[in-house]
Amino acid sequence: MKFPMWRRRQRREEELEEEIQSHLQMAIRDRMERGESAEEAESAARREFGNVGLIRETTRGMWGWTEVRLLFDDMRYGLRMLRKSPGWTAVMCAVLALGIGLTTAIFSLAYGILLRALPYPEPERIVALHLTNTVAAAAGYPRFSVNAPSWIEWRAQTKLFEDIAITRAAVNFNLTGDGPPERVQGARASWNLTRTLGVQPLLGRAFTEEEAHRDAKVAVLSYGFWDRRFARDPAIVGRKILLNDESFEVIGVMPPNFRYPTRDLDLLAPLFIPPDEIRAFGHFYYGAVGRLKPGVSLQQAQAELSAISEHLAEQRPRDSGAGKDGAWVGSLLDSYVGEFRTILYILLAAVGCLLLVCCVNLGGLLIIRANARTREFAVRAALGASAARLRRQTLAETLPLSLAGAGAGAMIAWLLLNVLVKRLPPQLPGLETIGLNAPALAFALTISVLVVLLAGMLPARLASRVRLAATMQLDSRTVAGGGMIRNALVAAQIAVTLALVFAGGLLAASLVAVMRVNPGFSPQNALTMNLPTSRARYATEPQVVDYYQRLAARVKNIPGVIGAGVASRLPFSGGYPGGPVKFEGKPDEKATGEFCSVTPGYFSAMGIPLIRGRDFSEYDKEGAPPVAIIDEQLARKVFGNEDPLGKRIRFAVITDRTPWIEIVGVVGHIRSVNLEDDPRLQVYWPKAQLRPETQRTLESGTLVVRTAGGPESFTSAVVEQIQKENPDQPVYDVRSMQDRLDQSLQSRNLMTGMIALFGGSSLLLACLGLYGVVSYGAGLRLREFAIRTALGAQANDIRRIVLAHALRLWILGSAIGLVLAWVAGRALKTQLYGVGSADAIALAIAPALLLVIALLAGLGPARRAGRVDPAVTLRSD
Amino acid sequence: MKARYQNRIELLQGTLDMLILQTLQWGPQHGYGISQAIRTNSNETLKVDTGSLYPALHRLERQKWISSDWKVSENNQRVKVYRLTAAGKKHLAAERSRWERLTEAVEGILNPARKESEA
Repeated sequence: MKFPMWRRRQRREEELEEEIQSHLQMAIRDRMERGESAEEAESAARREFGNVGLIRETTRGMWGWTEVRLLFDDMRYGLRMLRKSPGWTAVMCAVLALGIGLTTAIFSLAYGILLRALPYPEPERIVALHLTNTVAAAAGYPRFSVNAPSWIEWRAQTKLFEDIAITRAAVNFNLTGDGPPERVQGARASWNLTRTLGVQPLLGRAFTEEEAHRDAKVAVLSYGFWDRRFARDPAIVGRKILLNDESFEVIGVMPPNFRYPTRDLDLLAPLFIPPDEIRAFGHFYYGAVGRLKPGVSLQQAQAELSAISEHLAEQRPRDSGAGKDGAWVGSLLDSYVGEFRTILYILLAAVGCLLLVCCVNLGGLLIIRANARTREFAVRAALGASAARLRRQTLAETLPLSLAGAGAGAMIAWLLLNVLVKRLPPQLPGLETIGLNAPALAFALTISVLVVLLAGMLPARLASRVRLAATMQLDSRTVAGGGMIRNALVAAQIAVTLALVFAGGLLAASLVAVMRVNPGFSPQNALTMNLPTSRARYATEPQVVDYYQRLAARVKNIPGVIGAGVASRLPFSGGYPGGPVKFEGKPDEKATGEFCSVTPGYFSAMGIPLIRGRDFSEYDKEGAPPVAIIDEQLARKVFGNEDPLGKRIRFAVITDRTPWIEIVGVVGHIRSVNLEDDPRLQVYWPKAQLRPETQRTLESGTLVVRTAGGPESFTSAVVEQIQKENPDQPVYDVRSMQDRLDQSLQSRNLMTGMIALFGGSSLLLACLGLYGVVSYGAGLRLREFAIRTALGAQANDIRRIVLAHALRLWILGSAIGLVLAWVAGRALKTQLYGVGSADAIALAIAPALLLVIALLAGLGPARRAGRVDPAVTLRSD
Repeated sequence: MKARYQNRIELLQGTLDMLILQTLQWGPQHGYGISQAIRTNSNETLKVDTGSLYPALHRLERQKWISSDWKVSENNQRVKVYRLTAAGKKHLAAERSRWERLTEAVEGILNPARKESEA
């Protein structure tokens, strides 16, 4: 403690003391020389000198740095006070830590996902582009992927974009040679992608326009893939790798955070667009991204591209009623975050409410503490402390508390984030940036100091308003002030808690309702996996189909396997392709179907019931009459009571000149995207019959295996059979169907869980706040209760008085809370499923729960008050 | 507490500083001496409140207008003695001329007639 500065200050203190003493001595001597007695002289001199302590303090104030020193002094004093009452300190720290911890965790999520997600320069100028069409919009496709001719036209004519790039994500590359076969998540990208995003390769270079035009076999690796497969080999550039049995030269490696177009991107290859694809004006399967020129708004960009697309549509021959073409421009971040942004906002709002409850709770606790110290403050004021000085002291005393709260809160946030991040939907951007990083810690500290200052403001104001004489005379016979404020603070906690509990109830009810939804297939005991095939090994579609059917047959022979089938796409695994369907003899009937090609046995393996007709068979192949199976809802919508079997449909994606297909069966309707939404009806056709008009690509196939027991236990047996058929077959995304279903509920689970956590925490805080105020109020009235008892009141009467206090607070809080709950319900409307925003049951349960809390909090103080012994209480003091 | 100070003439802000500097012009002096000097020289009209005197002394010292030393007084007591510095002298001159302008102006307002007759 012996720093030079410290010693200098100490010497100064001593000198000041000596100076004051010498002043007094001289004054006394002068007075004695004038004939006063030593005693008289001393008291007169002291009286004339004034308040020594105050003079010392103001003089010290002239030395500079006083403010800081006082702050430290007050903080030291505060620390001592906190240590003296460990119970209070623990409770206040816990309240603070709870609020800070939960708020910091949610802040970290929002910060990582919304602010740090796009690792590109000037991310706000990067937009995602889609095509629109009025007919498609009416059929449930408000916007869809871009095709090459649109991209070429946009790029050629735009004046508002710096550049526009397109990619084809989820191009399956099978990597073979140099280790185990692996399915690589590749993407084909137009040559200007890195330029548009503003990212340069870490090593080597990106591909050139010339390479794209000649379909060069070159690849740019993602950092993750380079790390995982090639151990960050610095000599990777120039090396050849085998992709789909073709040799590709690695020409570059992207930086670590580059994740376009998909998070799990492994490599980029140049996008080659065949000339006939441009002529055909089909193939809507490109993701488009553009960089706006500075200052261009989304609306301006959208208007420009729409005009170009409309102009393009006028130039080509089209069927009547094809609808009006347009473009959609939206922020790239939103296209990633999507619905989750709303969820984040809801969580932020809810945690803000919780923080408010914490703040108010802490304020209440501090007021009660300050009331216990009224006399101390009065003494301080009498000794010359100014109101401002007292206010500053009370605030400074709470600063150690806020530091402790920030520390403990950071710990809670860390624990919570560890649990949370794993449960976030994995497709969200920026997940790897979420954590207890510097911004999160800074946030925790700032919020903690702010909360404590805010909570300390009221007691500080009360303290500085001390009325000296009245307070000095105060004893336990009189009741200290501040009752109104205390009660208001508790009522506010009850109100906000009620809204949180109500919101939690609505969300829980929605979750239950969603989980009760029948997906239309049976997710139990179904194992699924992705089996991409390469064009090099199976060059034609019939070869691929034949291969898949051999695989399914092998898997069916495993003991315990009940059925197996292959489909082009699984339910609950992202977007489903689809398009318009027309019906023979019903020219006005317009329907949009989800398209899926399946092998025989798929329906029974997936647990989709066959309602009428037959399943596909091995005889439904190329050359045989084309057949289709439609879902029950489509059958009812189009054919009503007629028998759909034998009727004919056709796909009308590109032109009207597509073949008619006979309906041979009707299966149950399924929910294909998630449990909440049911956008479209389903049309299936046999994988062995090619439907080029639906633009299915052949690379992807998913296997479904229905098992007798837990599906995961069959994984190794199934993979073994697949590799017997083809040792180079990559198998990925092996999951039970139940797992896929659960994952679709992830966001909802997370939101509901978090709101429940906030509601529960808030309940706990409200209970604590109520208990504190009721028991404090009862403590103040002990003498009154003693007199009442002496005058003949029964213990029950006293208990009733205390409980009535708790109930009054509950009534006041609930009245305000119901209004807040109504507002909260409205705000949650888009997230609710199967319940109204003002659900009566939730509206009844929330106040009832708080009533229980109020009774629980009131019971202890009431019992203590009922045990009051007039003989003891009235004689004390 | 307030009543005790009510008979005192409140010094204008900054005036005490000037009085201290002026007192120190006659030679180095300790705090008690300064307060006594101001009191006697003002015919007991101005009583310097020690609560203002010591903060003012320390402030002036910090502004380097006065400096301090520890000396032993005639009664064998260690006392802190303040003296005027060169910068203090300059400041005093400036303050005096400011003060004279101020009193003149106040005088002019209080006694406009006399002012005119003189002119």
